[in-house]
Amino acid sequence: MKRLFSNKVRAVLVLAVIIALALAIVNNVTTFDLPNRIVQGILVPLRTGMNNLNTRAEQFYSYMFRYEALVAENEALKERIAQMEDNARTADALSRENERLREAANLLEQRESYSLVDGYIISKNSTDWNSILTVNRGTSAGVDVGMVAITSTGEVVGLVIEAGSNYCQVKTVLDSSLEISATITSSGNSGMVQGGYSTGTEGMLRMNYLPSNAIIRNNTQVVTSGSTVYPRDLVIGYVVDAGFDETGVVKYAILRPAVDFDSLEQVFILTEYSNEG
Amino acid sequence: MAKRKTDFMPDPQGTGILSKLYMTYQQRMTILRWALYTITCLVLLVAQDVLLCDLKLFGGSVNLAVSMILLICAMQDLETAAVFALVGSCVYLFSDAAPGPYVIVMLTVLGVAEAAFRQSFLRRGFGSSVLCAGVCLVVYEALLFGIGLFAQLTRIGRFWAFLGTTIQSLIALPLLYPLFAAIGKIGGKTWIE
Repeated sequence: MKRLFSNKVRAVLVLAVIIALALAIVNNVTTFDLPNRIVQGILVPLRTGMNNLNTRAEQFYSYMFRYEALVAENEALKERIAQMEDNARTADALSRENERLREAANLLEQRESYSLVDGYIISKNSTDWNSILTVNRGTSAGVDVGMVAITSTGEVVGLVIEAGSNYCQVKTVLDSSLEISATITSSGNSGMVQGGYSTGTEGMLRMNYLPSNAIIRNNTQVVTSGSTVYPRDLVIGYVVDAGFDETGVVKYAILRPAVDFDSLEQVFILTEYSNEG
Repeated sequence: MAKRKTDFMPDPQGTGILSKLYMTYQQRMTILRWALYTITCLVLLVAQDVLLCDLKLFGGSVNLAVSMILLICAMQDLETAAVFALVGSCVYLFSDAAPGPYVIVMLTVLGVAEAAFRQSFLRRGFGSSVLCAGVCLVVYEALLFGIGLFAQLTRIGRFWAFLGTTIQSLIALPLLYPLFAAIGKIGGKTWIE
């Protein structure tokens, strides 16, 4: 009887199964990621180049087809500059007052201990349950796996899960596999925040394991509780809904992420911080 | 007996590294063809990550990597398709765009299956290649959704996002075909139907 596949094709099929099994085991047991680094080493310069081309194309399009809008935007910006110049004149007095408030509160003093590396997002990669950003800063800039990515205003973007010499990959808070210990600021109740894909609230976050007597109000701010990975008091999101979970024993809250991921362009990687104070 | 100057002297056999690196015209064309396939796939993969990731239909974005792998497999002979599907799925996985190592098995098996079916029952051309790749694409997305449900990584309500991804990826197939067909013509036909 004629065989359906040649030996070569059979060998390829067997090899595919072996590679998949080996990678599944290696990924679970070790942190070996050399093949990923090689492929990313090829893709990152291409992504950076295409990102720059895209930006240039958008600028060219704006120049060609949005001239009147740009003139209006320019006028608005001039007004804003005038307003900011006015604000700057009163900034010295406010700055001194602010300095005193900082010493009293100690909160922002803690943030002064932050050491940040800024980077631009060069690609957004998302499957149904994954949400990963590639940022153009890597180990050569001091970025390493396990560091936290935030916005310029201290909102949590995600966690660095892979770092090459010139890039890093950030798993965002929207990813359902990322869990963050968090606290509701108004009540002090703590829980775990994770992405909402697997719970029917895609694009939102879900805060689990809240005590049954927790008082949860809409628009309440939720911040990080502080751990070896996440500093304290970074904003994660705002409560939009709450209820009892399937067991009926504990409560959960649905959060709107503090970060607008659609318009996010730049992130700051927290290379050093202190939870003291 | 001593050799005379008029005796037949054979040409020296090439044993140097340059003679070993010599390639025939057909081999050079084959390398050029696969180099162009590789570059095109990488550029389209990057274009998907940078430009097309925000283009959503029912919450799902296009999956060009899988479309490319399945379409090229449908246009090749069985053995070439098997090797390409294996290598392509590995690169897809290592680019961190794939959901897990199981896609290597899924894409290799689907690539082999479609190449075997098309080679056995259909002539190589636009309709047959796009049809085979399209059917395999639907099967791939359905399997992926099934695995996601089984592993509780997604939920039934996300079906529309998978449908959006499938529809956009299906639309990409006929658009990609002329590009890959043009590259496939380099070096002439490597096998006869």
